[in-house]
Amino acid sequence: MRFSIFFIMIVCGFFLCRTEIIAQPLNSDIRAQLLDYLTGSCEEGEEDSFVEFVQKNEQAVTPVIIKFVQDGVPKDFIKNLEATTLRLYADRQKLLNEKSNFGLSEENLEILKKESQEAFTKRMTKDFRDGFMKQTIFGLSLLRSKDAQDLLNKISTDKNHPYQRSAENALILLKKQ
Amino acid sequence: MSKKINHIQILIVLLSVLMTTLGCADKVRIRNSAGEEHGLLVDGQSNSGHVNDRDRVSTSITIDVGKLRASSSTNEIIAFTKSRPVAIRDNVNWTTHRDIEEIAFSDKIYIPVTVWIVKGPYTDKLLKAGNAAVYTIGIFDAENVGIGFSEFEIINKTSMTDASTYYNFAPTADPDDWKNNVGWKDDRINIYYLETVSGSSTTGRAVGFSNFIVLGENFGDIAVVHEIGHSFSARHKSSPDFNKKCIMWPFYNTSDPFLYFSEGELFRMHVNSTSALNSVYNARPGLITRSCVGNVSSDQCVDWRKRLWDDGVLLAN
Ligand SMILES: [Zn+2]
Repeated sequence: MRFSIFFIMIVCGFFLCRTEIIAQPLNSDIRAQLLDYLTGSCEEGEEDSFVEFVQKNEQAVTPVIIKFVQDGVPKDFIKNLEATTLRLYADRQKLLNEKSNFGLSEENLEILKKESQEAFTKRMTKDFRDGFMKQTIFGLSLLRSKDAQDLLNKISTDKNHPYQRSAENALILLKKQ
Repeated sequence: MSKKINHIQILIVLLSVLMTTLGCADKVRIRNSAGEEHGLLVDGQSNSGHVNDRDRVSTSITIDVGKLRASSSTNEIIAFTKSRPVAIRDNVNWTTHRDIEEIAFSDKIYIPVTVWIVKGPYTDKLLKAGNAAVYTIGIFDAENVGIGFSEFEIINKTSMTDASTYYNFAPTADPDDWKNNVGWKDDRINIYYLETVSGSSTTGRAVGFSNFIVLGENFGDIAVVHEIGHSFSARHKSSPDFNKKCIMWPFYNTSDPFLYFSEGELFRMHVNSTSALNSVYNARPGLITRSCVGNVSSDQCVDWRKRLWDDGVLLAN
């Protein structure tokens, strides 16, 4: 008796695992594509715009977008970004000291040269985080699920939410369309 | 005795014929080189048929390009080097003899660009735009683009009347509204720092591949070079021959920045008549222009995937 329950559990487990394995590639593919759109893109006309992408894959992206809105930027992104900004800052200061053909005015060159590494990293990280979160909230506004709409409405009325204005903007844009 | 001389004479004749056919390859001599590595793509006729874009990379200023003679198709030399624009010479007179053909690089091209900051805070955007200028020049120099900025002007329009009317650039927006009300300079690339482009703060767009570029407020500084690439007629690259480190990849990620242009793209940015370099700046007066827009390849148009040097994991091809 005990053995047959154990056996059934193993069989069920096997099938659950299989489903997981089969389902995963599709979802991870969509997730990767979504992340591409969230970190930044260029609209040229050849690929789907962000709006088209979200609408085409609405079901698959809905839980991912909601999770990003709630949890924020994935930790590994921020970790990579910190390492990259250190390198970008060092490269920039080296270029600023070695070359003079950027076309920038003396005044603007000085402003750039004076920016400390801490200020640079802070600014770049904020820029990245803001971009990612605003885009995620924009994505949220394109979803028709009740959970998504409730979340958007909640953020748009929460004056303490860092991206309240983005949610409000997204709602205004939606009404215009 | 005389038979022996005859044998030697025949041998000498045979050897000289062999030397002229095999040993004495044609050469290309580089003029105005900055002393850096040179890359060549050469067209002509070889014994096995028409040669399109035979490639060579060398630090020498005289480069062996193999035996070539006149082709009924293209006879040309295209050259790349650091800090100089792509050089192209057509109607090269390849003969059956040993040719030494010259190609000259023009001086680096300096272009003015104007940035219009519409949505502030101005100081933040000034730093973003300045950062974008430095990063772009870094890429241009590293990737043999041969272009610099004579001026990278940054204009503060944040306190203009009704500035917020121009914060959001919708998919169907008319650039003329920005040109007429925010500002516009005809003779250059104009970049507008707005709030959103097509609803997104991280999206950028060079409208119609023109010199009118709009950016969302969180558009990556490292990706402005991509939009300028569009103004130079470059199209998106997302085939397996490219990856996310390529500047014309449709998506960017500041935590893993862009680094590379292929030589096929550089060629297009310089010679396409629709490139702002020719159509707006007239920066190559009297030089060859072509219509190699998009992913077409022919004797006249270098393969858009062509790479003379490795671009990270993407090897020269
Ligand atoms: Zn693009």
